[in-house]
Amino acid sequence: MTRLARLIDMKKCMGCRACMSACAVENHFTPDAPWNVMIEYEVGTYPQVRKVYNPMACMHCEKPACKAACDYIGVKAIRKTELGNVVIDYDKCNGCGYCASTCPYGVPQLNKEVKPLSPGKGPLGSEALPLAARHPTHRKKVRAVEKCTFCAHKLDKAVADGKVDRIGKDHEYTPTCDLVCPVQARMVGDIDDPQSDISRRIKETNAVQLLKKFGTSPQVFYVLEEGASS
Amino acid sequence: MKEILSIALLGAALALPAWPAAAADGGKRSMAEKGSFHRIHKQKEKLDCEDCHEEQPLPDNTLKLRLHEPLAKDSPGPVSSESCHECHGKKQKKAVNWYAPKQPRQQP
Repeated sequence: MTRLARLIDMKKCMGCRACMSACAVENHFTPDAPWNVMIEYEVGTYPQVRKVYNPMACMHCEKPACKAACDYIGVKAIRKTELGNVVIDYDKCNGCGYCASTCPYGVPQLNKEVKPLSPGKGPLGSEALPLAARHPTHRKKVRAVEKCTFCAHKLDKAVADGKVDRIGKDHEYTPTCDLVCPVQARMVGDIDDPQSDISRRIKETNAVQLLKKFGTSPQVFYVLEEGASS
Repeated sequence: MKEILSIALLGAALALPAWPAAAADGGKRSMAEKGSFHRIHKQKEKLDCEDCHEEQPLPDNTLKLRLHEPLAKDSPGPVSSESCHECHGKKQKKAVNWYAPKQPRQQP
């Protein structure tokens, strides 16, 4: 069984935001409802001060609090796929925002307005496709919550093509943010396979999950910069 | 007596199909100040605004996606996930346990 996870090496990340830009174009998120952001702050004491760059998106928790809240109120718009990514069904979402308030990382974003990514400059990426031809996660709706899907459109394609083993290796099956990092600070792969690159890297680097005390078992692991929040 | 029973049964029959529909859309749930979320926390649980809302902005190293998101109009301040965890991170009757804290292992 494949269980996807992501590794982000904060010691390598230089804060260029290529991952964010690539995600914005791939998934046409808008500034009011971002899927991928950069948290940055300083650590240390002058003159030994360093900047920490912490790219953040959905943690695709094993026990997602957002899903627990959504299920509890009977909406059941959030599900965990067979690969472990957490996705929202916009048609079921009622825009209550309970998932956003419950997520320890504040990940789900209520889309108050579906705006073009680049107003006045024509559609970008899947914006150019008619609604019916888009992946369900790209059929944006007003008053629906959205967030990073691990590029569910690519993962679904990998499942349909029988190429799950190529996730993290082939361009067409790999989340876009993980493809564009110029310093290879990110990777995605199967952590159920102890021999996979990501399993080995997590072990070698002692990568950790953020806000572990919430017990949601996030599936994004970080190689922490010295002094960084966890 | 029969009439009362008939009316009650008819009422139940009419109400039952409507119940799953109400549950399916979550009813009128909202994070707005006068919505269900605040009604539960403020009116029912008698929490004060400052029990959840911070007076100061959250620190820059807070691991929250939209840390610097502008607050809603009239909001008393940002909410830290820590304050949610205080009640929803443990098993208790009042608050639903959204999070799954590791329970201390019971000694035999």
